[in-house]
Amino acid sequence: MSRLKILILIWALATCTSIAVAQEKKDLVIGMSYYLGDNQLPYLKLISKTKEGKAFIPVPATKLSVYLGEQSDAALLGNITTDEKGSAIVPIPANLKRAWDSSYVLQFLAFSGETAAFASADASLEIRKAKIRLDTVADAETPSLRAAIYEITPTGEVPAAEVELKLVIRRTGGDLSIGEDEFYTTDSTGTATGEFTRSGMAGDRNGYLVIVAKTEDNELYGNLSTEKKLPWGQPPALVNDFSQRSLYGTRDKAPVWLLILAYSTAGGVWFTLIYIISRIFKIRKIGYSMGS
Amino acid sequence: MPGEIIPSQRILNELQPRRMGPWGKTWVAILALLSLTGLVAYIQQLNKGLIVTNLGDYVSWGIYISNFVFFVAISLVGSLITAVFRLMNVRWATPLTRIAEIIAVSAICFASLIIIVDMGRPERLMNLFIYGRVQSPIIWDVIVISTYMVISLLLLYLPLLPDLRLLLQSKAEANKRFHRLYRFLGSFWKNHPAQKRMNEKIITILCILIIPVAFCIHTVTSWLFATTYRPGWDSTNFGAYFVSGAFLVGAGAVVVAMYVFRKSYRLENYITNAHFDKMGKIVVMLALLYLYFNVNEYLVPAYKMKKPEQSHLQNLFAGEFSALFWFAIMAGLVVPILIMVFKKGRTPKPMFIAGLLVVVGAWFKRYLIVTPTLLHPFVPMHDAPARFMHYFPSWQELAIAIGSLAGSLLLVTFFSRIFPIVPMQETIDEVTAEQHSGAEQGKIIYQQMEEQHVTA
Repeated sequence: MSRLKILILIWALATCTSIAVAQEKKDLVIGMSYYLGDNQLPYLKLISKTKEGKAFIPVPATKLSVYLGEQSDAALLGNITTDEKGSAIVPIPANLKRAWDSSYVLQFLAFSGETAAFASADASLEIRKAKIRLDTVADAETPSLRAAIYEITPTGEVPAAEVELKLVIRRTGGDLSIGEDEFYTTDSTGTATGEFTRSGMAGDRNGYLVIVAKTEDNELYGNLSTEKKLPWGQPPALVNDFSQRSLYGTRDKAPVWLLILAYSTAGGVWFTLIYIISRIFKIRKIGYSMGS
Repeated sequence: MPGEIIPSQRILNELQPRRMGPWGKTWVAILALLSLTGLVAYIQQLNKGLIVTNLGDYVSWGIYISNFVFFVAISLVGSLITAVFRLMNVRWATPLTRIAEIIAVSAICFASLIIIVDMGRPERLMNLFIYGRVQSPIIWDVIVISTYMVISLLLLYLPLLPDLRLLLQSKAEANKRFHRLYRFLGSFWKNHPAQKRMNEKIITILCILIIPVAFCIHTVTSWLFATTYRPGWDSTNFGAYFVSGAFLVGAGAVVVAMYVFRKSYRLENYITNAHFDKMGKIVVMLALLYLYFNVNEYLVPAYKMKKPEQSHLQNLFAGEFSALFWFAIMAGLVVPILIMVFKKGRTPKPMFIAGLLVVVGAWFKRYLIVTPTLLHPFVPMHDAPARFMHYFPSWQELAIAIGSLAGSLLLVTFFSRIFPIVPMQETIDEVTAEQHSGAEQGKIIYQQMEEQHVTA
């Protein structure tokens, strides 16, 4: 083989490799979570992301099609586009109520088509229908809460044992556990009990706290949550000093020290000025008396 | 000639107000034209409202308040030259007292006017008195400015009384038309010892009174800014910073006025090179003091570079306002110091240039105190129209500001046409006292010589 042929072969190989590298598309990962708030409003949260190095980076503007049970137009939950954080929410549409009500194990499917940057991707999620309830324990020495999780089956509600849940107080900017434990686990009756040890916590103006029982990304039931408003907090002791004398008060609420200081200073200066003006009249009088 | 004993009659002739020459008339015409343009712009603002200005939600205090602070600052000179020097018995400053006082009166009058201009609805001024809160620095400013204006007017008027008598006695044709005014103001002055004594006493009281009031006016004006939580104003240094700056610009203005009056009224015998030399030293001292406060004012926040201050300071040092900032520092402070620190620089012409630089630099400094801060609020400017992000005054604002500056100069010019700009009676008294002390000194020397002769 001549030297020219070897060079052409190397060039062709290099070109093909670079084209192949250029055409290699990134993998898209679709994350799907199921939420049920207060046993009423189910919805799905989807996240599209890709792996760069060791980190996952959100992928905005990803077009996704989400289905219930099978990939068909009749089972379409919605076509959605992820936001700048790579997330999107899909509510359950009313036309799928019958399918929803007749199912006890829900299967969700999500697909994204191939794009210029990413290969096509899909994801699925299987969830068992369940309910969560929250009550206070009536006969407890210390205020306590009882949360119960029931799986909905064709035969009725069945207690869900060994499910990890959280009992928290909803605060601005985050949740606070009701006691020392961060997690509680349901027993064979599907219930978990927690003691409320955060007495004296500031509540709303009537002393009410919002207590939440929730599961977080449970592999069988997803994210269930329910809440209750209980009078276990302290109403805030608002000190109303609006009517007191202060530098920021209204004109009739000026501090006494300021009134004394301001009026005595201004009064002193103006008294002196009035005295000086009276002396000018005296000088005039002397002058006119001399003239006459 | 400087140093020569001038006879009283000659003093009277040389210090009497004179008719304006062609230069004077041109000067008045230009000032009158600028003032009228300002007036027309103000009438337009009255008709259409503040919409004719480029003031907005962010820069609500623009060129008007910069001008106000400048006028307030320049008015401090009255208390410096008249009161401080009089109380310290600094006799060399006598020819400068009236120049200082008329600058102070003129500046404080226009400071009050420019505030009304900034209000947009001047008829609501009364609301300030009816509904004003004594806790507000704005009310303190109103009280202290009106008090300072009255004291300055009295300090201008009372030393003028003996001169009014001299003017009434004068047969100079140029001032005949003002005799009615002279009579109205001072016909009662008979140079009676009781009158003189009383006048001296109340002038001394006024001199004592004006110093704390002058400090208050500048401190309170600084508090209008310092009590507002904003980058660039959040400083405990502001009172002293404003007072020192006011002393400097006032002294600079006196230097400029000294040169102009000396030149146009041929007052070389009264405003001598020695006056320029002494004023030069004072201006250098004041400029160094103000420079010190400037270093405090900018170095400390620049060292910490707190986030909200950062963009404000960067804008001043190297951004949108950097040209103005460095001009104000270099031309308004550093260059005048470099000129006046040398003896050759403390002669009339270099002093005039240095004084002018101080005054112009001071005006821009006030603009820099007001505007850049307003463009850097703590809460970021979101969803605001693009024009709110920058500020440049509209032609109406510029015309009103320039008109007010011209108006104040016009007031000083008219005053110097009607009244003697160098006190006549005080100059005669001082020259007579000098002659008397010279004769007394001669007698003592003669007696000493006699004694020496007898001993020998």
